[in-house]
Amino acid sequence: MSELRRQFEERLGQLGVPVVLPAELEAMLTGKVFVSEHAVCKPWAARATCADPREADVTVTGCDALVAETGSVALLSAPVETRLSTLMAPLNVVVGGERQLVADMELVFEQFAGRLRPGAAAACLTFVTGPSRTTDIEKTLIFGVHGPKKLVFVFAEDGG
Amino acid sequence: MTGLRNRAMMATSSSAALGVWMMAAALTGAGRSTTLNAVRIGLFIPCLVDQFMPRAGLGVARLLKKLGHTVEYPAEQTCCGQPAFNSGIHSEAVVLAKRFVRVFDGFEAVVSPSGSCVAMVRNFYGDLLGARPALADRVFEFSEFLVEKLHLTDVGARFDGRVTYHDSCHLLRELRVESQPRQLLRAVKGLELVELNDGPTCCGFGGTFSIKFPDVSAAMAEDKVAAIERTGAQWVVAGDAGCLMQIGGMLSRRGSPVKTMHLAELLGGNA
Amino acid sequence: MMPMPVLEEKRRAALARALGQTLQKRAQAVAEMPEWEAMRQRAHDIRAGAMDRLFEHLDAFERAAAANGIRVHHAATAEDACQCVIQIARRLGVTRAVKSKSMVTEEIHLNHAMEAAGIRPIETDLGEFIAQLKGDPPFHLTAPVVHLTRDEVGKVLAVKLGVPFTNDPAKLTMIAREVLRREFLDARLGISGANFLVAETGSIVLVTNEGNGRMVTTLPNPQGPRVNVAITGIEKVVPTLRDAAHLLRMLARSSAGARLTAYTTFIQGPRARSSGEEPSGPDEVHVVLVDNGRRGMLRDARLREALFCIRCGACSNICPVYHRAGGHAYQSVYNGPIGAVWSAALWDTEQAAALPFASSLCGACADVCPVKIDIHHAMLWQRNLATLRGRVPAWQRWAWRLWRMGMERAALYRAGSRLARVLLPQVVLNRLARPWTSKRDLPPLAAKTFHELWKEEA
Repeated sequence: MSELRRQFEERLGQLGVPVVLPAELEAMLTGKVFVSEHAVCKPWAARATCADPREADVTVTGCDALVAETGSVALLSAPVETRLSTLMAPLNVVVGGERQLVADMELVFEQFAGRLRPGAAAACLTFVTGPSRTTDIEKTLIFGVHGPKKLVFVFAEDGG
Repeated sequence: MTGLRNRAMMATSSSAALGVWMMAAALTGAGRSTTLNAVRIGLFIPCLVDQFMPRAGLGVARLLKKLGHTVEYPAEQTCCGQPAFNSGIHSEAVVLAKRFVRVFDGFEAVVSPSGSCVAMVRNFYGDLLGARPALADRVFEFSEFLVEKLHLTDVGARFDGRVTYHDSCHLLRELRVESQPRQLLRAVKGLELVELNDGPTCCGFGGTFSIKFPDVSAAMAEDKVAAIERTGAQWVVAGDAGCLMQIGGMLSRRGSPVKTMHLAELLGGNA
Repeated sequence: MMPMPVLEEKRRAALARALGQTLQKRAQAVAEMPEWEAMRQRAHDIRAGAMDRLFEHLDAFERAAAANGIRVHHAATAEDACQCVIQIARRLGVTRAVKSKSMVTEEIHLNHAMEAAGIRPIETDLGEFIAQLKGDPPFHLTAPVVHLTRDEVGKVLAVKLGVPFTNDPAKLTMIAREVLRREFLDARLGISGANFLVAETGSIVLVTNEGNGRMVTTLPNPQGPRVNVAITGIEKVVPTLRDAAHLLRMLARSSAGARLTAYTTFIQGPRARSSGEEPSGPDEVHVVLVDNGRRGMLRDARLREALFCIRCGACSNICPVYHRAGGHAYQSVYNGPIGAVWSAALWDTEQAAALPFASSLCGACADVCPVKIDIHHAMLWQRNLATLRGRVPAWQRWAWRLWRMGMERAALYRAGSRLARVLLPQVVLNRLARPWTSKRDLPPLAAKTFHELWKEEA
């Protein structure tokens, strides 16, 4: 396992994000399942039962980069929609490839410089670091206040 | 400053052995080296020390003399201007700041048993006067002077008791003096130093703050006193008279058996 | 001088626990970075550089944002900023808007202005949502209801939403989720703040742990035109994405002890409509750049540093005054140490001018500040400004003058101290020092001053 992957998985662990094997995912795909158009999600395309991420119980999505320093998943808003699909459902499964790993946020900016250039920018770039959470009531940590209560990560088998 | 540092280094640099020799020499009154005598120290005794805990001033004077230095107390000194400065009355503070520089400018070093007043001169005179006076670099808080300039931690003092040290905010955060008082206290025979472990958090004195916001100030003192009592110490020691008045005032109000003492008095009061 | 009461014992203890927990997490996150001091310095330098050429950076931001289709508005005053938002809402024809947490919208009292214009603002940050239901201003920069117990939160939700009472934070959170999810799906206007603006790319950077910031800027409503308005201070601009990345680290570690906030979003414009329709995101993105007194801060060399603030709240978390008095005691939108500085800098009122005095000047705030603002020194300067602006009563200025005249003459000072020992027995001293002795004892004057002892020793 590469050092970047080791660090990334360690960070996910600290954020309460399980890293599961593709085979283990099957059991999680219950209720209304939305699967995004990312190529890495193809293996689960047949499991989709819902076309609108707003109504899904589970969303399976790809991503654009993985950040080892913080355990973050970077998402561009296009060409594949990632805003709703990583925000609305109680359970969000992100599929990423080891080849997408970079050390830090700055390297994501370098990699996607073309998508951040004024006049040609993607509408939105988001770094997702763990599930939705709050500590507003007596500093008690509660997950899923607006976004996903649970985030699960899967390494694509072909390396992404 | 280089002159002072060099001489201080020559006199005291290498070891505790040298320190012991110096003390012995000073005590017998013989063998005072000209090198040591050449350091002419001006004693800066702030108002609160002068009025409420003069023995802290004596502690500084006796200790420095014992170490063989020439110690002078310019009788013209009054206040560095800090109370007015902290109250936002710069127009009055500036008069006293100029006066302070006049009174002390002739000394190679100025030593004071107050972190707060030294911070005023060193950190704020520049802003107040428009230009930082050269004197600002020659004004030292007493414990910092002993450890950093004279390279001395064991002053040969004895004190029987369990002691905790309160970090005054000006010492800790304006002058960054944190380890020096502890080093000095640890070297005192018979003294057991216990850490306060409360942050370190302000005692709530803050000069006129303690009078303008008495409720908040006293609440801070209460928590400070509770932390002191948790250590089981018999004494609380600090390097600023203001903190000691605040802490002592609350200890006394609560009928606590814990007593306060200025660091300089503990180290040099019986020297 | 303003009164500043202490919180009741129980609330004080609960607040201390909550703030202490956050501070402890911060300490762990800092301990993980051996180069933390260098990181603080870099953050300071980034913010200093941004403020040195603020208007160049703002121009660059505006050009880049415009190239991405973001509409930039300038608001000199709070009133201008509110009107700008209200006009956008009216043009859109909406009567409600979802809002994510933003201190600038609190500063300009946007909610009040919107309500007066018949547009209902719905706070969606859980803490802000509870505060809004309760009708309270935020208690803390990052934790609006940190002072409330779970029972109190439960009561607010039960009374205001008509739900059965529960004090279980998880259940309370899920109630809020349900209520607010309906609002998100219904909203066509989303109002957010901005943590940073990036000059080189025209990006609006927004961080949110709960995800409401993403909801408000994504606007999941499947129908109708959707509009996102970001309202922020002109000081939030940073030159580059790299600068933003560094500050985001400092912000997450300082505010919550995290390596990064759960959701960090770089908003760069409305959803694409030419090259393949994007199914989500707003049709219009607006930025309102609020001045409201910031240029004045920029001009004062001693207050300029306060503009470096990234609103992490660490200074409040450590402040011994904030711990005892709480956020509402400041009677200002911006509270805690940096809040006192901002309040006095933005508002020329007696109340705001008093805030820099409500500090023991202990400096703990400056030591935890991730961008190294000399917060307590700024307060010292503002105390002098209060004098210069005539906020200090004449009798006090005269008292200080008399005091100074006494201190200029050593003989007078010595005579006075001798006289005090003769004429002022402790009982009289205690009466004179009433604000002090009401809470603590006053130590007795030493029988002899140092001056006298010194003469005896010689």
